[in-house]
Amino acid sequence: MRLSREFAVLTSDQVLNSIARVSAQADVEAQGAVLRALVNANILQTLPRSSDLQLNAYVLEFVRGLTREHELGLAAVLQARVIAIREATEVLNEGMAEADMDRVRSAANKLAELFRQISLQLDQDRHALLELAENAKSADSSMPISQRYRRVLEAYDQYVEPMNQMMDTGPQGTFYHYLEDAEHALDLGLERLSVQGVLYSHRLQLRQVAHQAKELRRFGRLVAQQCADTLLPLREELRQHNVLSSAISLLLGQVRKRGLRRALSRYTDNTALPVWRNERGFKLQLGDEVRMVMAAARAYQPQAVVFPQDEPSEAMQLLEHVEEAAIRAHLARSLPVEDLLDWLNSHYADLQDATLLRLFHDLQHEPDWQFEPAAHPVKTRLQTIRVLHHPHRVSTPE
Amino acid sequence: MTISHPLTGTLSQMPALAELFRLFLSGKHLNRLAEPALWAELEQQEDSYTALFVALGFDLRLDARGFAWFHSGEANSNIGKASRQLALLFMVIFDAQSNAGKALQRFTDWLIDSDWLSEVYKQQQELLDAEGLHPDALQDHLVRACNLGFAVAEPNGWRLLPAVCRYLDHFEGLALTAKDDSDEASPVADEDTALEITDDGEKD
Repeated sequence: MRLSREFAVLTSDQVLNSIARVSAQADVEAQGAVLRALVNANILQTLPRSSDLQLNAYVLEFVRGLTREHELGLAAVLQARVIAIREATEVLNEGMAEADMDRVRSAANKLAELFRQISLQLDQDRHALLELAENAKSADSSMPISQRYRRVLEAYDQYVEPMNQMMDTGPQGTFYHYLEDAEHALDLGLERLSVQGVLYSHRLQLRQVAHQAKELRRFGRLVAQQCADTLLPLREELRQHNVLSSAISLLLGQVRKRGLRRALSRYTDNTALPVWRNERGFKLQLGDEVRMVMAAARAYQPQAVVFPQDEPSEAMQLLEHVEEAAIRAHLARSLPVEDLLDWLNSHYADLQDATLLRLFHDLQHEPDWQFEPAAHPVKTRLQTIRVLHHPHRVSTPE
Repeated sequence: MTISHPLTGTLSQMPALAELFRLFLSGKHLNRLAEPALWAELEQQEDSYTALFVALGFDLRLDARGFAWFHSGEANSNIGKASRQLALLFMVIFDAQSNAGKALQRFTDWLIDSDWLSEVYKQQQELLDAEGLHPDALQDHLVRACNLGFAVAEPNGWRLLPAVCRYLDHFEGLALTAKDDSDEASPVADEDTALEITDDGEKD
């Protein structure tokens, strides 16, 4: 069986070898007897014009059915059968119109046969496709990818695509439409026959065929779905392979022409050159001092501090009450004064330095008095600072 | 003193936190293929880890293809250079495999040994020499790739890890932009060529 997949025709030596493998204890003569028996039973057929042998086609088909090893059928065969459904449906409709029971029955028979064949083929094709995909996936990964997936791609283009078109429920899908028509015709026929009243066996036959049609419609969709699900990922893998390999050769070309940095510096929308942080793992070990700090923190007792109640406020002195009018009157009485700052200092020494200086400047703006700075600077010692200034002589104008 | 932080309960469910943090902090990628146990833990507590790392100022990213890393937007020029050279290394490796007809999506199956690397070097010698990548440097870069979780060392060679997908994605992105640019013949492209000419002039 396995041999027959690789060689269409077997020589008698090949057959003898495989017989020897199955029954090793038999001697050469016994093996020859087995071969002759196979040929006599017509399981192996001799080919015309040679002594080579071939497995009987029926046997081959039967064993393949058992082991589910099918070759992928032709989508065209399926298509032809689908078209045959349409023709049979027309015949059925005509038969119904002419009330010709014979035609109705033969058309229903034909439909039943077609449904059976189609569902058989669909089932076989499904297994063939699954096997194709499995072979492609399990093949040695060192084999060139185009070679590994060649059969998958062929199957996709030649089988799954046309299948999907046929199964399409839209206006394009022939399979679905014809099947639907057939189903309608069968249902309608069944209804009319039950109204007219015909033989029970006739009605039963039509009903069975109608059920077959419904089942086939479901099964067909299922198979198409399964095939696409199996092959699409493989096709996708190949497509991605092509995208990636062309991207890399394009980039290598750019590196060759423009240098690595420039080739990779182009900005892209979603991706970026992977970069990483250069932080080596570090360890932070807490010293025992921290424990002491924590212990101290846990044993912390707030110290009571008594707020000072009434202390003579130093702040008050920042804003002194100065009776400027009194000072002016006093100054006016004392005029003329040789050194204004000295005068202020000697009479109002209890005032702060800042206040004294402010008074000194304010008084100079008095329009009624005349101020004359001396030519030589002198030093005057106030409470905390020493001022180097030209003494101002204050007098009333003549 | 009792710590009544909401994280306390979660922390007890993150036994590999220290190991993961050290791994990510060194810039390494975590691959499901290379460290399945760590990956499983990260995946189980993904939200907790992400939240914790965000609080520490790190952007943990998980890719469904089976790798995770601390994402960083910018890097210093040294790292940029290293990354570019790694990119070139991966490019020549993938190009050589593509020429050999290997399935590029199955890069984790490839065994890369030093003999094969020197063959790759011969194929692209001119290009690699121009970028200062000599056969020894190629091996050094593979060792570096191992430290960063892009590859794993084996007794007689190296294997690439899924994290390489970050580079592959970028390659595809770059090629796409390059194609768009050449389709549109945008002024950016003109500017680039002008720069190129002056560069060449300087070199001469």
